[in-house]
Amino acid sequence: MPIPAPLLRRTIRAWPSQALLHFRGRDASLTAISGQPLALTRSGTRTATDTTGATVAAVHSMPAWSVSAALFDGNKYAGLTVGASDALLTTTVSAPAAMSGVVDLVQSAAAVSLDYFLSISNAAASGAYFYIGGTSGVYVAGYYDGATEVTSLIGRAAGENGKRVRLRFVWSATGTVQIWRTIDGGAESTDAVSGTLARAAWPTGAVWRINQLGSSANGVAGLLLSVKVVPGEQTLATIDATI
Amino acid sequence: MSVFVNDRAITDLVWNILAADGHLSPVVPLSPTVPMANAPGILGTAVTVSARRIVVTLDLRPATLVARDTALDAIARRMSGLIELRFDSAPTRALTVTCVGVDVQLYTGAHANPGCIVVVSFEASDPTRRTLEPTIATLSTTRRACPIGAQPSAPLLWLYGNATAVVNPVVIVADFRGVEVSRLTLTGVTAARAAASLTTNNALAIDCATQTIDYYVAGVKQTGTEAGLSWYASGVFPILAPEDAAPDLSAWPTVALASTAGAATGLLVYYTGN
Repeated sequence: MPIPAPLLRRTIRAWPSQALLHFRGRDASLTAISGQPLALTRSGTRTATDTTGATVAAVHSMPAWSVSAALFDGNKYAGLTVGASDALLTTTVSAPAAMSGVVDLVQSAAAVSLDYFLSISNAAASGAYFYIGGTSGVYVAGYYDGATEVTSLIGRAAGENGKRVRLRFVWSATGTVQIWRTIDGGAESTDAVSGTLARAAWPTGAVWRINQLGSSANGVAGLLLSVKVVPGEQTLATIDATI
Repeated sequence: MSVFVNDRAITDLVWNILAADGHLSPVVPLSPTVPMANAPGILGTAVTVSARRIVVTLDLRPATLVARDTALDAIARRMSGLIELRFDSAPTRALTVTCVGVDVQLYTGAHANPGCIVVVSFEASDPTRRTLEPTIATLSTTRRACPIGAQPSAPLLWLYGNATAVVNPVVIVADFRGVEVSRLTLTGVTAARAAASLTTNNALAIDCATQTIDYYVAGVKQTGTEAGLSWYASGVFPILAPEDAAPDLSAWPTVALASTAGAATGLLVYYTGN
């Protein structure tokens, strides 16, 4: 069977994704597996680190694909180097409903204020929004309906910089929020589930924002390995087994 | 043994995986690289390899006939579309396949027995087992060695502008001996652009598989007369090919940048395969 050339980079957008949003750094593509084109916005340069540790400055809004140092399992992983001003935006959003997800990253610097890994929000961060974020002391998942906010917190231990952190969240059918944390492939830990808060409609202009809430709040500095959000209340194993 | 279909082990549906065949054999024949002169967008017809056929045999032992049909439905559902297929013998490499057949074999004389054998056949039009994780290489005017596998690789490439404009950037591929094998020259001059220079905030994104060039100014993809392909002047899109490597000596093809002015820098992303 003739094919153009072996090992052409495969376009993965044809995969039968069941995720609401699925971005993988190892695909080196700004089109999510789930089909959404992602607009990377950043005004300055961002340093990309290659397989050998050499660096180069990716210019304005160009993706800084990078490879991690060897992590806990001895392996290196590819992802997108992001900083406080980097954001990946879709042009669409999923309906407010129960959903679960995992943000997988290697954070390079502790946050100094509340930084955001992922949100559904509009540019002004007005009206309802959902987010996953973190500070120097905790990771947090929260939902704000425009007047009231519910959150779930899990502690962020010292010395997590450079480690692989997986944050799982569940936004339940009843409107509670809960966050779990996994460090370097260890067991999941969590804290209390939030109170219940009924979902409101998203405000006009709400989209998926990776590494941002609204257009002005800081994102996280680190290597973004993947972001996956799936419908319903799902376990980590189910989320992992969903492409 | 585990077989992963789109990152998901199918062991949850089956009693056992009896056999998996075809995924380990080497890709033959090793395809040649052909010159593609004046052919951005035209792919060489001689670059052909045979598709790979992979067969996985599953042992289903459901408790009831209804459970058997449910399991078969689930298998069929997971096998739709393009599939990223992995085996735990090589968990970091994957094939992109389509399912071309699900053959259910009931036990002779025991059709009331819900147990059955399911033979799932896949076809990989591109028979290469590629790495899941890419190799990423920073580029400059210094030659950068690019380790590859036994199959050619078409990289993604980004060229960056600079405060001191990078004029007429060139991407040069050389073999392991340092002998140039190809170059892509980007000197696009348009009615609106007298010189092809990348300045601060400018970048070219080049996909050597689809042979496209996108030109970005401050993150905005340019279109019309300023579209990226207007930069193309001559040469071929870089391909990292095994005939340019001496793997036993860990000597690899190299990629370097050049320009008539300014210091060209860039980033190269590619997947190796066998």
